[in-house]
Amino acid sequence: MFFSSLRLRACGTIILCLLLSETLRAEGSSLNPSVDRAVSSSPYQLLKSMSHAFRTASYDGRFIYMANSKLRSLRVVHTNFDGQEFERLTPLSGGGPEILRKGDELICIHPGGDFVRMDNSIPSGPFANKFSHVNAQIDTIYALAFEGEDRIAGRSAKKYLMQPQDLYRYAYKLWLDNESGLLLKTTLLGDKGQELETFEFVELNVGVDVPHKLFDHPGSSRMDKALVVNLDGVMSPNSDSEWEAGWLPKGFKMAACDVRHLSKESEKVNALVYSDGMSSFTIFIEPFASNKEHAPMPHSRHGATAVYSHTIDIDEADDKVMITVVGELPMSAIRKIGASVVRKQ
Amino acid sequence: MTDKLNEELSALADGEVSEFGLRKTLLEMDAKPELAHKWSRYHAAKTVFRHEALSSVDLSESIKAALADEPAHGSNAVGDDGWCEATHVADEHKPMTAFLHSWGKPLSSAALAASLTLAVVLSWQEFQPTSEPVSEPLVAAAQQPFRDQSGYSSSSRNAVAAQTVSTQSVGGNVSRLITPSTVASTSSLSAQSAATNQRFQVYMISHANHVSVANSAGMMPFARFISAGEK
Repeated sequence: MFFSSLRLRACGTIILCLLLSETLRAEGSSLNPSVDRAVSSSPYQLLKSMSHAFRTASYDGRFIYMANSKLRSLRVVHTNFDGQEFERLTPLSGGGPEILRKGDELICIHPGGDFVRMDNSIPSGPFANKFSHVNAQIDTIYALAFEGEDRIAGRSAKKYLMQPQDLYRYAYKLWLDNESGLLLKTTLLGDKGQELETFEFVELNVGVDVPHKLFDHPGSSRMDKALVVNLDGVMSPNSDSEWEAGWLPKGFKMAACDVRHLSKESEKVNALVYSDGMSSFTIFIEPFASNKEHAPMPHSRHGATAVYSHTIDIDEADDKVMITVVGELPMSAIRKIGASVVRKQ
Repeated sequence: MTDKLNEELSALADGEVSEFGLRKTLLEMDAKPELAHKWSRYHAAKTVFRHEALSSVDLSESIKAALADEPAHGSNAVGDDGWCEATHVADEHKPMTAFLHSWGKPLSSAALAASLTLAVVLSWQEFQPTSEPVSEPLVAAAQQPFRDQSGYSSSSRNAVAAQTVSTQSVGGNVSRLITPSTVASTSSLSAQSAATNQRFQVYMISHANHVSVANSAGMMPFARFISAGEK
């Protein structure tokens, strides 16, 4: 009896020690900046780590975006206030708007002070997880290869190649910060290995104190209903859309769907968002008015983003809807997806 | 016709075909008239889709001619207006064996490159201009930075730098290739409906927002949106 009680106590102590050491190890890895992250063994593990770092870290950095032989430099600042993500993206070269995200609110600030606010956008805070479509199935879609250590923005990084197992998505080269797990650089590779686009930090400060006022903007005082163009109408990520893609590349699942107005007067536009955890595309479905102002988008590509558009008849009265697919997939996949969109029976 | 062939033909029409795929599809097209007809329908549909005037040109003949024997059947000349004309005379009686013999030839000939470019640009062209007034902006505030933009973006303008204008000539096809140097003077040809452009901007930012959250990719997807609006 005595020995059995002793054994139980000993076991309890060992378990407690193991739990404590595990807790300390976990805390140490997030608090100690010098911790060198282990090599990720699977796409799922890598994406989970990267996604966590993107959401939780406070950072202020400058990065370049290159596509179509054009280079843009931008500054990004990210932090959390009261459990909500705050981000600001500012172009440092060329024109173009600033993007400001404050919790679930997305504001696009154009030069000159005009801005567009997207209310009820997909949440970026604590609720973002339920929209994030990273699951273990991604391990069957991409193969991950560790390609060694590298240096990006003066920081040590691990380089990976994420190779798709089919022709319906692109390969990614990824450089992850050893210290924070943040993505320091990524390159999308075309079917011949050509670089379609590159994001690369040239300067990054992690763990910085970001002042709240950095997320104010000149238009704040004018943020009243009269000046705001509300892009989003009803956000219903869990509701069933009456439309669906009849064909999807393996591993793609609906991450969200919503119904919105492009303007106060416009008809509702359905948006279906699909993701395999790494690549995404959005299908927009809207009533089609056969006039030139409402012409379908031409097939086109912008860096890695492909756009495909066509119209289909929905009834015998010759009413049509316009289907537009926008995504970072090969045009062949975008086209095939777009052509498969049907109204649910 | 198999789905595989349909897919390859569709890819050819969209300029998304590899060199090998191009040769293979053209070879199939030569052997199967119904495939050639389908190609013509795709070409016509895409032409109408882009609001262009219909042309009876069968681009595949130009490409085959270039693939088969570039020096004997093609010539390039820069016109007075600065346009580079790539002329390919399609010889309907030329046996396909010549095309097959050309398989091993170096693929760097100008005519081949031009012809391949013609095939590729089919899917990259923008709408023809419209002189009609644009309807009320879909997103008034989004108009500002892109007000005087002639197309979707500088990147798309690059991609559509080559605009084909086709005419039928005696004994063959003439395909006129507008070189990038002439793009500025023809920018009006690639002018985009402002309303469509604005809708595109809304789609791009909506998609960027979705990607940012669905893939937990932070602000990076918005860099695409900003760059897509660059002049």
